[in-house]
Amino acid sequence: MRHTYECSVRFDDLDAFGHVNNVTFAEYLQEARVDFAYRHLAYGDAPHQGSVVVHQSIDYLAPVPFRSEPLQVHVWVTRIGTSSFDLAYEVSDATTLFARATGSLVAYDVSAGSPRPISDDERATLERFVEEAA
Amino acid sequence: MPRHVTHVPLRWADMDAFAHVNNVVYLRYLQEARVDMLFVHAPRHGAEQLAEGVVVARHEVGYRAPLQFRAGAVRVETWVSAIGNASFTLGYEVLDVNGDGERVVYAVASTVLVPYDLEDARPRRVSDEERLVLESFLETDGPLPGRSAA
Repeated sequence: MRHTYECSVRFDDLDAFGHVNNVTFAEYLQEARVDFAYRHLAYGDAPHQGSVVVHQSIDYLAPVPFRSEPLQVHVWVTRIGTSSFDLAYEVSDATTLFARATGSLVAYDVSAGSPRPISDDERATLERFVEEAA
Repeated sequence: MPRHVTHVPLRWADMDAFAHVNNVVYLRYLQEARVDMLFVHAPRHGAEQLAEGVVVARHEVGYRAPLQFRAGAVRVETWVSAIGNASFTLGYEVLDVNGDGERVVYAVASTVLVPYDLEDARPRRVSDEERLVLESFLETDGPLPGRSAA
């Protein structure tokens, strides 16, 4: 199962080349990931039990000019380890795939400032979103 | 070959709710370094066209250590790791160099770039002038942003 985030494009997401800047795609991924986490991993009740990004890659496949219709950012889980997990993303609309991306995250105890094991609840939730990498 | 060195000032608001510099902001630091290298430095050495159009085809970032706001800038070293016919690849390290010369690396990254004709909306080949400038930063055995699994 994939989590889908409806992502609006803001006017100032575009750079001098007239398309959404490469850095902004990473923001879109972050918005989708945080939306996924807050809706499904319920960090809202325990915000210190978050996770941090330790690696990410983004392949840019097509430019995004300004648009009033939102983009869809799909996010799903490709691996679950002891204290880390991998995500895959696609940024698309009904007709075009604009970017593919991956992220590796480490479960992190923010108050202790150290990695922590993935909890049983988190694991159960993440497992519902496991799919193969695209 | 020497690396291109850019000092990027941190902003307080670069930090997120976890009180460290957000992962997205590292890409912005890379962009500052890349623009300084390709749009400011390279045109002075005969590669003016890069500033008129080059697009990112791929980024990879390995986050090595958290970075907190402080008064000083962070150092971004940039080099060229590969040059193809119609693309080239940059490597980067985001780091501090301490007084005793110790290097504290916060991120290692790479970017594949494609020279792009914005008017025709299509990629173009790397020109001879661009190749000369890029070759002056060539380092094919630099660190890679590879992922670690836990």
